[in-house]
Amino acid sequence: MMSICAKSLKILFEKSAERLPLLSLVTVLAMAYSTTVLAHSGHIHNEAFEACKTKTKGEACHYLVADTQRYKGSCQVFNLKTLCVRSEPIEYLQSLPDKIGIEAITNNASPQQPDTVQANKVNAANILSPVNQITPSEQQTSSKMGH
Amino acid sequence: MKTSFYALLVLTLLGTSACSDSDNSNNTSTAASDTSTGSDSDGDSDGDSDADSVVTGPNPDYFLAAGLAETITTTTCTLTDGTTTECYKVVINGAPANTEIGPFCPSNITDDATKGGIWFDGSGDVYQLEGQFFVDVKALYGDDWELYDEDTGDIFVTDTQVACEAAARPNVAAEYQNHCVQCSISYYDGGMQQTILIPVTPVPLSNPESIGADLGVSLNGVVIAGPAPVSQILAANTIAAFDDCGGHVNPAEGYHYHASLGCSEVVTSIDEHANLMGYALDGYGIYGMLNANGEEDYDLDECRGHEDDTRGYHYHAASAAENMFIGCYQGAQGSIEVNE
Repeated sequence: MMSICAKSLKILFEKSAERLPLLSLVTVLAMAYSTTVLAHSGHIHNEAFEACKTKTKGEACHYLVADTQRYKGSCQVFNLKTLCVRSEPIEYLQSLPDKIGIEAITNNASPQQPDTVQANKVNAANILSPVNQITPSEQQTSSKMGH
Repeated sequence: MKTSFYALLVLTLLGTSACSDSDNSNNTSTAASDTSTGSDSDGDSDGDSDADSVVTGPNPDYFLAAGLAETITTTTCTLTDGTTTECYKVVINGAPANTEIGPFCPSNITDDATKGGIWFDGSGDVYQLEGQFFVDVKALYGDDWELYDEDTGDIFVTDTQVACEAAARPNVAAEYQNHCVQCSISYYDGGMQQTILIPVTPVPLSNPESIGADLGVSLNGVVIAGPAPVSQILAANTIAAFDDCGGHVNPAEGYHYHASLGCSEVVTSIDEHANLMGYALDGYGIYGMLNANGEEDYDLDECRGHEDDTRGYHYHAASAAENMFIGCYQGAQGSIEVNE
């Protein structure tokens, strides 16, 4: 669709250039662009992608979900797209009054952890149980809307 | 100790299979031996725990026979690092051995969660695709999202093969934008056969390698895919619905998983470790995110893997809300391709 749009605009540009003043042409292009943008406006965001937007593969990254969960890991590449891959258990923050608060809460919540399995039962909070689940697990059903 | 562990593991597998929907009594995996014990770093295979690292490979006996198109065999293969070695040849039917595929999209905004599957966009939440989701979606993604008829409440669903194939691609046809996208596996003969080659003995890499489209195979015979391209999907105002097992159907490869939700965890660990759900293309096992106590490990590497004395190196899947299984490969990979 993008290529068709580009081709149409190119034809429009070539034909219009002979007939329309430059100002009109700019107006037409601006309208076409703004229509495209409006068609995809909204709150689409992917924190895992945003966290690595300015980073390269292997760099440490972190992002917040719903202002209450902190995901920490490193940037990894999937099909040329770089995403933040979590390698630590999700940190659940009580509140985020400001940046200083975030750091304080995070530091309190993350003492030095040994490389062994430790309790983090809240990790199950966002996981759905499959309908045809075979193996019982600790996963809980959650129906969420919005953040 | 280790021998008894695996004996119990196999017994648990048999017990679990007996309770599954499919009859696995005809599991015809015939690989010569249980390779899960592998070899110690010093080359022996006695299961001693004196080695610094345990090398474990896939166990073909763990696959549910109903998900396989043919008996698992071994064949010579060349891995991504150029290593020529022996691989398991796993040919899957393209449909899960133990669960039904779907449902995906509900029909009307009054439908409850049983009529639809789930949706996740990698932002940390998993949404139940009940009818109300399509009413509320504007608040989530924007006012230009119109996924249902306001007069009837009917949700715009791609309910034909033509519609499915026009919508389940990067450049969604204009008439199928603002749709809940679903494709029936019946359009593809009930499943696309695929052949997966996995090294019998994993070959560790000095540097991890990135994941492409597909990354492994589940024990119930489903391709494990990388992250769903949610940005492209959402850019077309579409929801590419997943079923409650985290899978959906596309024209390129049929049914495949984008998330770990327990449906393929057919081997239950008896030591409270997370359950095995499948194998990555490098031969390392992929386990669920949480152990039996609902806990997650603190020592995962950048690929979401780590090593223990029993399983050697292995991965743990991320949550469905993260739209991914593992972060990268720590071993040289075999291959996966759709059979013609």
